[in-house]
Amino acid sequence: MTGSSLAGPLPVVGLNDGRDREKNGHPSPCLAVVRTLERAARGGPHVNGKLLGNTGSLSRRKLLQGTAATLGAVTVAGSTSGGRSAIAAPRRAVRAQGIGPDTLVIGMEAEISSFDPAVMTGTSTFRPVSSMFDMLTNLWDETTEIQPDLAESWEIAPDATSVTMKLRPGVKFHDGTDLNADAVVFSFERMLNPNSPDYHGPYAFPAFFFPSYKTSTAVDPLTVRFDLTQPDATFFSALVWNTGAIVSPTAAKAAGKDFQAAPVGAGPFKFVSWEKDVLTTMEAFPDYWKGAPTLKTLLWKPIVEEAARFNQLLSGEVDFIVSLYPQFVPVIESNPDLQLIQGPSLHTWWCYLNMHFEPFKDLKVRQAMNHAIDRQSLITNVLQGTAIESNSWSWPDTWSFADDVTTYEYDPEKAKALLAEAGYANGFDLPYIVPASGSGMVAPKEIATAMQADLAKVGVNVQIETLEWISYIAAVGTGLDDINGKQFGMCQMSWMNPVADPGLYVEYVSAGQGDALGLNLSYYANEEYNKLLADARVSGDQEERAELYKQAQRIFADDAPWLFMFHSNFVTAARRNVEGIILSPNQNVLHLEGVTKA
Amino acid sequence: MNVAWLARRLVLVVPTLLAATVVVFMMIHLAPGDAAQALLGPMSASGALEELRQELGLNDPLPTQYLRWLERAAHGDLGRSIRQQLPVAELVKEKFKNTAILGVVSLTIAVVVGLLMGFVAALNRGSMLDRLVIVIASSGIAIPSFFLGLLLSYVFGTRLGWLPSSGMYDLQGGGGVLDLSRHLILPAIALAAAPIAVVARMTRSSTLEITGADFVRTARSKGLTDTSVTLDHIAKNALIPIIHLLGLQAGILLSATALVEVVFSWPGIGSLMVDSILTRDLPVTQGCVLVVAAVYALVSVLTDMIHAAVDPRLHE
Repeated sequence: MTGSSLAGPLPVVGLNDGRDREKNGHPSPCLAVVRTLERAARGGPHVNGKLLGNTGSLSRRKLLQGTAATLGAVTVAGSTSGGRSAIAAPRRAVRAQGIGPDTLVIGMEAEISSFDPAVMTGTSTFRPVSSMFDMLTNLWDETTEIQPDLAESWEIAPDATSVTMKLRPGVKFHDGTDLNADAVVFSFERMLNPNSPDYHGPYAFPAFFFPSYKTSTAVDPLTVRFDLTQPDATFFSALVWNTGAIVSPTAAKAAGKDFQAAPVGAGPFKFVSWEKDVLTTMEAFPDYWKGAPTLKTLLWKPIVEEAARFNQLLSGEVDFIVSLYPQFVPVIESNPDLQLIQGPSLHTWWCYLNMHFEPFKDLKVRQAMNHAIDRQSLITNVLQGTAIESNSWSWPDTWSFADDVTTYEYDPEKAKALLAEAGYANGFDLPYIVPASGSGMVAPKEIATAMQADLAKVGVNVQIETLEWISYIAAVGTGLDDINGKQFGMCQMSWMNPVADPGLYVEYVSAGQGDALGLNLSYYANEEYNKLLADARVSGDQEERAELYKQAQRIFADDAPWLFMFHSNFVTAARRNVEGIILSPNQNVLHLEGVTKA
Repeated sequence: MNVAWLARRLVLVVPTLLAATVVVFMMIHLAPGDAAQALLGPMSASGALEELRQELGLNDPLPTQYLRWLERAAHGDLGRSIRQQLPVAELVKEKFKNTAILGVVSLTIAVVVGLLMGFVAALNRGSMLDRLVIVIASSGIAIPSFFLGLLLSYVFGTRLGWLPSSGMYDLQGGGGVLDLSRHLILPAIALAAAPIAVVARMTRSSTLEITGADFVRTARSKGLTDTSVTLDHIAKNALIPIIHLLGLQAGILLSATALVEVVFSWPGIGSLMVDSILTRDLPVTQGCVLVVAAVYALVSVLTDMIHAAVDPRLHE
């Protein structure tokens, strides 16, 4: 049975890999018919999934769809591979659950942990809550330059001991009160000053994100000055962390400890209600300073189970999801009802090479490890193209990025030669500890298994152990030398930075020593490197900082205390009729104020 | 069955609950990671960890922490969740209601369908019908509820669009019984599959046993109609072991519900417990365990009571 009479004028230009892969893998004639029918039903030539030319021929499309449906039914009835052909029948739209075109339903990967910026933990909370609170500065669209938000302009003192922000006038909170310098001071004092009457701690994150905060002052109604305990150029960058959101002092004072039950910010949407594990409802704030949002309502559904979340996108029960398993990517790309929305992000993913582990004490072995991994293959096959290779802790096309560092191309022969030179011609055993899942790490087990295969080719025998996320954090948090009595050579980690300033995390993950190891799980100890990072932290001059970070990257790449891996993209998926979602390289924020549903 | 017996049984529930909470408390602490680390995530390798631990009281010796919890619990105060400072008692009550709805409906389906299947199979022993029942029963036990749930959700929710694939109510619907029922169907079936199988098999073998018993032969030889024999003699007696089985199944259902709740985003106590364990939110976990253990214990008492009422041999 061939459906060629229905193929019509459908060159299907420039279609993506997904469909070709499918054709190669599934030579079934029935599936070929199905695909032809689906294309016919979509009624027109496409480029990258976007319909070209005449999209208005509803009658032709309806006719084709109707015929496709009939033929689909016939295919089901008459085919020997009955089960698979059932996919040909067009899906009935799920009853819309009362959702109108001005309501966006978002599927979240975890329930919101808190609506109070002081209490919020983790990206899965930052993202939804970012629709309710604006910050002083933020990232926007594809650029990694810090953009003005609630602050119009700023000045960083040359000695990096203070930052002065000039606020935008006329901004209102959801409760109608004014957003001014006092509100900014209040927002920071309430979470960083335990002596403040408005402090209702303990708070997990504020001290971590703003370690050098001393005090803040309202110089005039629209000017705030932050004073720091020591020179710290990263403080200004840190203001993009969602923890730096500005809250309404009136509301916070009234609510006290229960602010998160009735949070009030100045973002495009305001809080309506929260039913734990069921639904968070936000509605548009008509007096938002950028103008009223185009949507009326946001509905946030926590759907923890990966497959279930994706299924709901498929059926239309949710319009938009932000965290997806890479294997869903080709399915999305080949589905006419869905679109993949992705962009570059300030994310880094790497493996620590424990330099206390005997083989890794030798630089040649660490270099060999880097040469042994076929990162491009991992990106293509495991991550479905949603990442780029990484050679450092900084990000391409950002101010601190050094594009001339030593890079380690995939070269298993060279890896073997280096191992032999180091005296490991017969390879060695490598215990590798991996999280089952984790914030910012997509498919860690699959990556680990693929790495195991690559390393086996050069003689390194990798033994993988997997731990649930928090158990993993607890296990590796004190180092890799003694996890329940066993030493591990390697482990994974990732980091999502909100801005292009490596100073927010680089010392934490690569420079800690002794009791203050932090996450320097490689035990990397290079004085020159540490000094460069420390100097970069305290300089108020970005160009000087850039030079210092670049030099540090060169040393780091030469010493290879890490197995450099990827920078993942910010990957989201939505129904085809959703337009206007703006991502940015800051994965902690979603800009939904301009979204419409066609 | 008298009041003294009942009172004794109810009193025994208390040590059961205590034991359950102690065991869970210890098990959670055996797992690496505490609430502070769960809150801080990768940032817990910094100085912030110790401070947070101190403020949360996590550095106190374990027995102290447990006894502190126990003392408050004894006064009805189950504390607040570490994450959002939500009062645990209210949270657990709310979520348990949702699980109860799902559990009761599932159990009813399991009982009705299982009993019917089992009886029909036993009374038509050896026939195609009997074999069909056995096959269905075996699949019900073999297919994990998690997988069945995903399958049902995908086929009937995502693909066919006949039923909602998650949640308890429509997002912007009016709530109400019809709304709830539509959302109940798939998770209830997923949850009931294994109990149906167990009940069916048990009913079948119990019925077969009874059917071959002396008193049945007597009843038949007395000239009683088939229906009379079936209902009055076989059914009533076959029911006894099944009552115990149902009691057990009700308990098992309470824990099995966690998987189905996660798949269907059903906001019940199972998914609350899973979530609280993953975030090491101990007060919530302990609260959940307390409620689940209490229900299990009370169901067990109820089962015994029903058995005693139904079985004349137990009448003292």
